[in-house]
Amino acid sequence: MQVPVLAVLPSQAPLKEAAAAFLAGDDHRDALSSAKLPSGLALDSFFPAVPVGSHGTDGGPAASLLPEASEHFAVRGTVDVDHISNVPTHTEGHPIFSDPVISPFLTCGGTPPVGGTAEVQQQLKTAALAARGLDGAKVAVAIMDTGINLAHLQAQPLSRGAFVDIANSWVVPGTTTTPGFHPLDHGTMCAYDVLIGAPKATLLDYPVLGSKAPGGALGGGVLSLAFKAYSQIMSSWAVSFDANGLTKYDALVISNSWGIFHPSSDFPEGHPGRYIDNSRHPFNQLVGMLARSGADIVFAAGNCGSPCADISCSGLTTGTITGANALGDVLTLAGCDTADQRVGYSSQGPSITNMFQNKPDVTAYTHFQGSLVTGTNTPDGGTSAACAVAAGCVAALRTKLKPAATPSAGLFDQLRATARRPPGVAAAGWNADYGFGIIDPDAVAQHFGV
Amino acid sequence: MADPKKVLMTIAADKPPSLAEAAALLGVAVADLNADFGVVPIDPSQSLYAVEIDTDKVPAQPAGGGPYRGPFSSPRIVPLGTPRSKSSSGGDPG
Repeated sequence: MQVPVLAVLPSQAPLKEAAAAFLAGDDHRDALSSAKLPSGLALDSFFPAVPVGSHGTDGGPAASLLPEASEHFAVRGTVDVDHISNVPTHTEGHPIFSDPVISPFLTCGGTPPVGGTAEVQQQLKTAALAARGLDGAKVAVAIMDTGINLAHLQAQPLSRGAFVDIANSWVVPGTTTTPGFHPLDHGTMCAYDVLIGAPKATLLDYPVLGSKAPGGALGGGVLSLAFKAYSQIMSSWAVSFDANGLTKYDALVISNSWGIFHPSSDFPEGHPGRYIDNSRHPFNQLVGMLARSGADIVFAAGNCGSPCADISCSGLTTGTITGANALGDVLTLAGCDTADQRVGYSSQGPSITNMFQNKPDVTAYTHFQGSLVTGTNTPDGGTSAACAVAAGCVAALRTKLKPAATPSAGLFDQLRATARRPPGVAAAGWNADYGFGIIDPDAVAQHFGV
Repeated sequence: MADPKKVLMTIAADKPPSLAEAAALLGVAVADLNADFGVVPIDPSQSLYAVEIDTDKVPAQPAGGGPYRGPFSSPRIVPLGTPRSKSSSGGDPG
């Protein structure tokens, strides 16, 4: 993983020139890029060289901080280590200091990816999960999204073995696209992110957000389509018991990387048929029924967090976890980057009034270079990716934790109880940014002895 | 406002109703209901089903209650991929 650091280097002409240029308001990058750097330090040329005088001694005249007089300069860069605890104290004898993420540097929508699939695997300890035999085999994961493009998944090293159960997937009424053959879009990103934790899980394609669905438009659908899809799953999983239906799987996980940005898209406040703050809305009732029937239902918290809320939130950043995303029966995901820092757009709790308040439940990884659905150097982002990553973790655990013995509520309780405390969070328990902390599926496996 | 064209209604019925039976319970024409949506079970143990209906065909709630409830909203739902900000126009899958 790339860890941002500050390094203190002895004076050299390029550093002097870069510092002077910056102070004069000129571009410092050319000068800085010719500086001699210790091995292992990748320079951030956007950060200037900063004179720090005779570093390591107490004080000194102010003049020693002038570029031409300073004996040392601080520069910003990154070091490549396998874990943040392994950042060296020195590089070639020059001291290294932390450059922790503070609010202005929060990962936001326009920020490049922070790490990639390998960093997510490392943080989730997927090798340990695999060694325990927790890989998602015989577990179905329904991707409630824009549809899956299986060819893209099978072209990626991580998801080369991706498999879609076409017979148990869903074709939206009035459409003809075969499951697994949808245009490359958000749903394929989510499918890939599920497979990070559960590479042997079977994917079910439920394109409820597809633009060709009834009522659908570019990048969205209507709730009634999700309602219909959930009913289909309910019938196959908990009612019909068809031997070739969903009951042939040991467990069923439903990944929901979707939601509503703003209350203005719903009925007015106080209307008895409103969705976002009404657990008696038919869709919310159906989700609760399915959860109590042994399915593990995972939802994204939303992208209306402060200070980097999606523009579609229209400035609303409180009470933005709504609808089924705020039901007590589901696991609701906040997002953090691979350095364990909350991403600045992840919706914060508590939920909208009248719904289960302590949401999000836990946090998972997002904003990393993963599926390459939109090309290189663009992230698998939003709480969408966090939701899908967490759904993969749940699927991995379900390889050996059968719903009959470990109901969804019990599994989710342990995911909350074992979540790692995030950096900078002093107190144990729930907090509005991370819920109960960062998901740690291996700790859950240890708890259950699988 | 949600999708201005259609909303959900719930129906109580002893056995799964056909679309025509659901329309009769609501007192509307079959053509007012979305046949693609059909009659969707919510909780058969409580004899509860859902249908989708054109917004302008929603029946009034009868005095003293009746075999149906609603309307319930069917708002637009969207993917929660990488956020867009005022300074970025996307790059989001979805």
